[in-house]
Amino acid sequence: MTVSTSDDSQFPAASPYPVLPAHEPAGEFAGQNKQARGTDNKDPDGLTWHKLHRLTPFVRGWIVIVAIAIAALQTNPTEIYSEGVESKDLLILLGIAIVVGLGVIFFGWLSWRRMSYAYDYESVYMKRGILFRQERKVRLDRIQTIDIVRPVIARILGLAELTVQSAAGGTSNVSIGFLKDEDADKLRAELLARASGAVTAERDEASAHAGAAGMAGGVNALSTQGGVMDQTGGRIVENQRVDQGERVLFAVPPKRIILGALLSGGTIATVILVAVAIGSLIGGYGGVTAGLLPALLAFVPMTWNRFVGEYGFTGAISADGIRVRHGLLETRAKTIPPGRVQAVQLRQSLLWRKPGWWRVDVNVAGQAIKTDGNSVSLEAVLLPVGTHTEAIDALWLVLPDLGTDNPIELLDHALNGVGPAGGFTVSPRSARWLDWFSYTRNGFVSTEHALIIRTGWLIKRVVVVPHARIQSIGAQQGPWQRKLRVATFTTHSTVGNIRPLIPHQSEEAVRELLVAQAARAREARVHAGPEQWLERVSENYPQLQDLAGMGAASAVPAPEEGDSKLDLRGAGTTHTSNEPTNEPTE
Amino acid sequence: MKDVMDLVFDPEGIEWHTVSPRLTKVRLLTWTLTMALPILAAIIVTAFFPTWWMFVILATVLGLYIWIAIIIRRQVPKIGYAEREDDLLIRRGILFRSIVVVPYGRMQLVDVEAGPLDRKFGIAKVTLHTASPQTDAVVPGLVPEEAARLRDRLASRGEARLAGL
Repeated sequence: MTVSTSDDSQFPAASPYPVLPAHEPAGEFAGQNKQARGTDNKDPDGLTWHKLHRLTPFVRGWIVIVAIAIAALQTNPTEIYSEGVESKDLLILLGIAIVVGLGVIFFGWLSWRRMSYAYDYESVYMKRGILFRQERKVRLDRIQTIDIVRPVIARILGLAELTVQSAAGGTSNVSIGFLKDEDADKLRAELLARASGAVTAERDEASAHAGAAGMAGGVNALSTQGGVMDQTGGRIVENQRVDQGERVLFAVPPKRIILGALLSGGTIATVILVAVAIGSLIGGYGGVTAGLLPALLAFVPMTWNRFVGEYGFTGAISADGIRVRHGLLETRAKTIPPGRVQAVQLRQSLLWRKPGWWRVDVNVAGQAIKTDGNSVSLEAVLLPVGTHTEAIDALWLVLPDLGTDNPIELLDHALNGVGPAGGFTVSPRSARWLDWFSYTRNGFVSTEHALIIRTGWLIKRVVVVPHARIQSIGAQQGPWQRKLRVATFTTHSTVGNIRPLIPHQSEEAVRELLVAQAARAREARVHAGPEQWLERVSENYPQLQDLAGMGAASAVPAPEEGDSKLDLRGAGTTHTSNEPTNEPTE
Repeated sequence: MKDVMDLVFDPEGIEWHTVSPRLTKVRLLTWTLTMALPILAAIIVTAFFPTWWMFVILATVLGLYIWIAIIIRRQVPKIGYAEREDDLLIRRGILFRSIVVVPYGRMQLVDVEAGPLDRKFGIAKVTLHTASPQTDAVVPGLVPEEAARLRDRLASRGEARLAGL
């Protein structure tokens, strides 16, 4: 639970952190870490507010500054030259440039003055903003990861920014930046150490009192502990334990990857475009062909990127989760801890219906989704192209227990069925005006453990959301829906490609869902014990028994009931307990 | 028609709180400020070039302004929130209605925000963040005391019912 406030002056009694004195001494961020504490601002709560690097606003706003500079430079110099330059004009221009420059610097300074951060043994605090003031607090035990980000400009200046990600994702991240590189590293280590509980108020106190060199010693000790944290929790070591105790479960044959990529919507579009282009060329409309070329240029890389990205896709099982590898030119490896899987989606596009292929995506909590083009979708793929059986196996891997007696039959109904068979509730007949072709398919069934949503006619989709993973739920209704007495029910999942929503169900069904699903989710949260995922999966896969045995104590970290420190250490602690595996990997 | 609406968006036994009517003022003012320039421009141009299509444009701009203003006036009283034992309910909308149910244990962060206009009129906005970016749980237009109370209440309940992911 984290709380943040803006505009504290409005809430004098409630604000957990007092407002800073109006003229704070410009804290020298010179020594920039614990030694510099004395010069930073200490508030009555005992929080020490540190300043950021003075260049921060300019690193952040460099695009604006560059834009202004370019605009200034592009004031059509040729025109000026051709008409002859008068020194008066130049002076005016120079004056404007200076005024704008000073303005930028002044606003930069103003916003820098408002930016500061603090941390204690429980939380990290950040405040910023001139007009819209914002104070943000993230509890250390809610931290998922701390990344160090270095944009180009910052890299040139030797600066870095810490992104503290809490489970709430994007909007609630706290960015502490910019700091000097080494300070950013130190701060990260310190925060991780504090979050892990390796450094507590008492221990820190003790080391502070440990003699004349106490302070420095304390700092050293802290960074060491931070280093240890890095090794157990961070990404650094992840690459080194790639081969330990892994079993390859499936490898998607290259042929299927190629076919799968070719049988995609992009390809259909390409073929149609090429046909039209050739046709118009023959018909003598060369202009049309030329106009279509850019579209072609967009679709071809799409298919190509997909092929290159998914080539050599293998899924392996290890004690800390499912390890997925793929890529032709650039190999990527990623671990999906099943305890953190929030939703699973099986998807079949029209052209895949003939070979019976499915694609399996997952939403994983606390994993930042990269937004650079194609990697978005790939980050969360469990199986890019698989047969019916493989897809169901993949689903089982992450959700071993669907909470029904006959999961295979249920999934058959979910994947290919229509109508109420298999216990599905589908849209009422009135919804046919909104979904003429798919209203008998759009439906859901709620088992003991999960909500299974079936949608789509041309592109079939099945989404499975465990009750215990539902963040919040909601319903919407537009005017047409109201006329037809239907509404759309949504469950909200973490960041990812899957958006579990059930379109156009009868009002009675939605009302029932709102009540029942809230109760089921609550129930599931309360009773969700340790996941013991590997144990359960190994029942399906006897060859994994030994893996399960050695990872038994830890299985997969299932952060439950406020013990969210597991979030941070998760994979790492698992790893340390399963060193003694020397079995060859398949 | 009432029973139909109530079916989904007014579950039984829930006492809905409405938001401060000051929110209407703030939103109307914001909307007026947004539209002031286009309206003014349209009036001036019409005054200088009184062609029939200029009058059409002026009428459209004015119509849009009035229409949205009416919608704002009607919408604000429809925003409601309710604290249940385990979750917070927020509903809004007349034509396009929506309801969201946020379990306290799922809350990651509670934001209280107030822009310059909000501060002038003495209201604030409470936003609940869960691990899902789709959770659109915003309670706008609360008087500062209520905002602070709600925030603290949510924070403490969230603490008590904290669930992992």
